[in-house]
Amino acid sequence: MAFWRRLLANPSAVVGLVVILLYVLAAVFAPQIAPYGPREMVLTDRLMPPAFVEGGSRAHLLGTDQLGQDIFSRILYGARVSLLVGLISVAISLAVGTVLGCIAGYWRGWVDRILSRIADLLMGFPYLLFTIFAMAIIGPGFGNLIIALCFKAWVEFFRLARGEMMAEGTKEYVEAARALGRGPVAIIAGEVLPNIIHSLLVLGTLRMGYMIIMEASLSFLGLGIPPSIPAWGSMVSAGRDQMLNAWWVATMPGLAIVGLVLAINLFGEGLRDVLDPRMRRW
Amino acid sequence: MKAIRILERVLTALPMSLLMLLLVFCFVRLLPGDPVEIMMGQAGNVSQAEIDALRRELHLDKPLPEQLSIFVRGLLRGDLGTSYREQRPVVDVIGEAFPATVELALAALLVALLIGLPIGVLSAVKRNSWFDRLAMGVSFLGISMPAFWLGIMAIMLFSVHLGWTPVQGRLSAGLAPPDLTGFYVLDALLTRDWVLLKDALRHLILPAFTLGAELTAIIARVTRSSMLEALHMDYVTAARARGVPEWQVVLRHGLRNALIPTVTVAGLQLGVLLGGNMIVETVFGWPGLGRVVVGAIFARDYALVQGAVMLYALTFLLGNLLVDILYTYLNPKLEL
Repeated sequence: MAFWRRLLANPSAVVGLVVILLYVLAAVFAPQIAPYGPREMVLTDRLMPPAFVEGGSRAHLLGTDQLGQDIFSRILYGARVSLLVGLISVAISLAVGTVLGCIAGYWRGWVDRILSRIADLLMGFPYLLFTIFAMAIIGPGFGNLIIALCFKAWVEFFRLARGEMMAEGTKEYVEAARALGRGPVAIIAGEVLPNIIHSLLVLGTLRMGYMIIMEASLSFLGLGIPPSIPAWGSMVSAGRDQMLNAWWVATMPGLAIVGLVLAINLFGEGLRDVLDPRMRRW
Repeated sequence: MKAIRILERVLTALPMSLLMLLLVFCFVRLLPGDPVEIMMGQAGNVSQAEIDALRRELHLDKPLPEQLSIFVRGLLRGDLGTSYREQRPVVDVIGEAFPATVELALAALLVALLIGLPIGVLSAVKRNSWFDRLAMGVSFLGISMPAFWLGIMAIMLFSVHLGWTPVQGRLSAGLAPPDLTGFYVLDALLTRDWVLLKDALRHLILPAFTLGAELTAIIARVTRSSMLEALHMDYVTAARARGVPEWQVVLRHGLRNALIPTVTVAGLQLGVLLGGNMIVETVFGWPGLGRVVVGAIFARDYALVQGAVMLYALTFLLGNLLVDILYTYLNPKLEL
């Protein structure tokens, strides 16, 4: 209860949370809210400007693209891809990184050495290049995209969990638990994890915005979500060809990305202030 | 003492690069599809004999360990093989594209430092002022914006609408750079070719700002918080008490110590600037390594992918090494 009170007293967390909830609602109720289907083409309405611009019509709030598809409707459906990719890829990376990090930090020795070397090696490749490579190997698709994103993203959670585990491992409550004869799994999951999960959750929130940008970037390059599913990145990519005559096609989906990522980052910062105040002093 | 530590650090980086080399070699061979068929597919009608000949020429008929040994032996001679798609040595292709990538990355780093550092210092000195709030708000926006979208917005505003900068490429048609370093800005300066310099800069400015935007925001935020931390230290209070002028307190006592985290971030991000620029290079039609490597992955041009990815990884490794070394000079207390 104290957590919620402190969170709700934090303005950036509240603003972020409200905006995120709006995006989630838009994604869930896209079929009910959207005036058109995600792939519905009205060929007579191609490249219509948004309603608030001269020549625009109420029928297409944010205008249409070169195929006569309603941009507002596609943005609503596109929110599903971005939110799901962000959430699932962070959840998997967080789980894998935390488990491996706890193992490495608790037992140290050769397990730690091997895992840490793998982590170093993965950190040696630029993330985007790595993901492009992975997508080329396993092919496009929603599931594959998430695998490609997680392939390297767990490393950060691993490093954080490992470091925290090592720091906590020498503390008295862990010694006490050991003396009471509790096993390693019970100590890690029952004693240490509740103490370090906060910083992992904060990192997870802050990484989610990054994952959404990565997904959009890959879709922009044509390597992410297949074109049949509306995704913000590929919408911007399509709008790039219309730069000279229809600015809104590339602009609108990009604004949707910025809004969501901004909200997630705001919420993440607020969450950090509340959960992990020692990470921010000023 | 310092030299020995640095040497030690370099030596530990060596096995790492060897491991990377092996990984890249294996990864490239995991790419689905037969490279020879993909290459021949572009040529149209080909006989089985021709396919076999090409397979032999690329050493793809040999077992993997032997392919690896051929690759490593070539590497030691400075030969990375032949790019099938480009029909010339990989070294030449990379040699042409890499300077473009480095030029763009350095320009972006320069933009980020020139803008981010003063903003961070000023924000810290004038904490909670309207400037601080505005700067931190804008920098927050900077981290939340995808580069490909920012680039397109910049092109629409500055190139299409205002007509200030060219839309694509490194140089206008009709201009030929001298065959010197491959860094057009540097080449123009060396030959005192002011027309070339102006044109190269006009092409460089938008991609550099787009690529540098996120780093500018990061540097401003990191500098601000480390400055605030430094300005609260006892030695700063002591310096103020001794009557040291405020600007000296800020620059000499504050900034010098605040620079350590900033340098770390900038150094680590230089790798990202070099390796994450496929997006910006694609948006601005910049003929760099990022575009080459994406094209090569699609074309299954093994030799080219191998060479380019390795170069990326090595640059990344080198970047981290440089950060570590810079560390010791900024803060003698830190060990490598």
